[in-house]
Amino acid sequence: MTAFLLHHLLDRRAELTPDAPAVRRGERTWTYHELRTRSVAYAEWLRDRGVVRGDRVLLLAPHALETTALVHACSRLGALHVVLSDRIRPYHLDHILGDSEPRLVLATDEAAGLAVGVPVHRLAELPATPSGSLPAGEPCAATDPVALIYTSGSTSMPKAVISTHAQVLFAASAINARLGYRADDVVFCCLPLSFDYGQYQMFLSCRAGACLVVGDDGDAGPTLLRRLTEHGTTVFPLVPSLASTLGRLVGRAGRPPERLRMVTNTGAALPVTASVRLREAVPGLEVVAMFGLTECKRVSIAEPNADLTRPGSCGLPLPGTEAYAADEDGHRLPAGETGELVVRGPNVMAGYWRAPDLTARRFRRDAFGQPVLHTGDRCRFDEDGHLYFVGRDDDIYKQRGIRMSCLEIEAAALDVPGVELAALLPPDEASGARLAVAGDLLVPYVVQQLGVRLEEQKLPSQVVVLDALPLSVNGKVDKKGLAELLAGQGGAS
Amino acid sequence: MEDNEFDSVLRRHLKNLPEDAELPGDAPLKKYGLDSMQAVELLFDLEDELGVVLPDEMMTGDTFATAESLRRAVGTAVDEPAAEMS
Repeated sequence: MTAFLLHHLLDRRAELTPDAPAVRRGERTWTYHELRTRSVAYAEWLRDRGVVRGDRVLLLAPHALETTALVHACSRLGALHVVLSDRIRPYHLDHILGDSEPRLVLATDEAAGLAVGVPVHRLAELPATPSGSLPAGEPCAATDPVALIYTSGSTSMPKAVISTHAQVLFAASAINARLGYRADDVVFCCLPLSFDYGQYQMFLSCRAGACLVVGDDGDAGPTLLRRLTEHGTTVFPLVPSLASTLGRLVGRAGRPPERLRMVTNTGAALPVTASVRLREAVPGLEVVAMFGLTECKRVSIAEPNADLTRPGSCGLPLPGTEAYAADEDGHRLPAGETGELVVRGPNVMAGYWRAPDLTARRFRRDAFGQPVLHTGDRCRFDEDGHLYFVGRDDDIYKQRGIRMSCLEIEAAALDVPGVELAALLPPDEASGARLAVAGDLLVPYVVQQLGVRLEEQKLPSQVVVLDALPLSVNGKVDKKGLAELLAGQGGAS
Repeated sequence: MEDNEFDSVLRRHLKNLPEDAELPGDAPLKKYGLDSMQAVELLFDLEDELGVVLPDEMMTGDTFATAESLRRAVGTAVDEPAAEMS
């Protein structure tokens, strides 16, 4: 049975391995049969509350077991799921409610009070068993949308990327051609399901018949190692801050999570020291670097442990897709030259929701009417076609007349032994470029080590050492929060 | 373990707790800004500065939930080697 719509993935697994564990959170586990049953029951329940094809269903439950069934329930009705962080600020949530106009909102008890002006239901209202009243037949076409994923970015308010069934299924299949999730895998995801990286863990696990363990931010702290071990985790999708935590906890305990075989990284480059430490801590571990953006889900995935052979590379574009660096006129640049990252292929999503101008700018068309995604990211490719991320257009700044990128300075800082995380705030009216690093270090040492790695004119005007850097809900360094933190400290270093 | 030593390490990691404010023993530390990353820093600092090792079974969310639960865990960790010696 080929999957053409998102829920076909689940139906197929429920047929192949009905009794295999599909999803787990805490003490609760659902088999593939149970997950499918729930998704049918939820679909009926949603339909009874007026949800029809094309409707948006907002899920304010980014770490709930129910969410893993609700995405398939929406798919069964031809409706769109919109998973949001429960830590979202009312300012942003109000915007998203107006922008997405959901038929209804489903929320955890804690988040239920956040949404106003729309019907809000709690997860506890959902039925466990279906009545069997869902009509047979397909709810929509594979080219119809199945999800809105909100991302923040260059716009002042979060904007949504529209994904169709076909695009999601292609992306999941192309990603798995590289990563190879297996039916005996246990995937531990403590990233929110509102983050596309977290969300696709549902689709990748379901596709492979693996067991997805849904965690949350509480699992990303001191308890992380214990959680990974007790669930028998084999695959752990992480971001650099989680890699740092895991490396330290394994070093402290002196024993690795025994079954862990692969970690993937995206969101920001993993410092070389972090990959080295993880492999030392966990014998046989494969560390996989990836690059992506919600507009096409994933661009490239590197060979395992590619940091040893092609340091800084994010790997080759997904099979069946193409990515290249383009000059200002959109023409392909030769290997080694830096330009805008352009992506073509079935992974390019359908565009931005209700933002035709922005969509026209980013999602362009070639001579055959096929989409060509202009990402606004800067990159280069080596002779063999491996991608190197250089920075966002907005990360480029000028200091003493020289064009440079935040990423270049951050990469140099991350190369300094002992630096766990690094973030550069570009110059503004109030101050020059400021570098903040996390680690048990002294400022003069960091400055001296940076001087070994960067020309003098590139050195940031200020270096600050902190215990930890503020992180966004998706685990990336929150630069806005960092700027506020530094302002609060009166710029002391 | 000196109580004020524990307090000073703990307070350092609670960015939302004003210096002169009291820290109720049963208030969730999350409320004072202890996120997962900060909790890891706190764990390492407590172990380094108080010379204790928290055993594996204490690596739970409950241990890091409140000042009191954490103080109890650290207290047990301190007492253990002494009990073995006697």
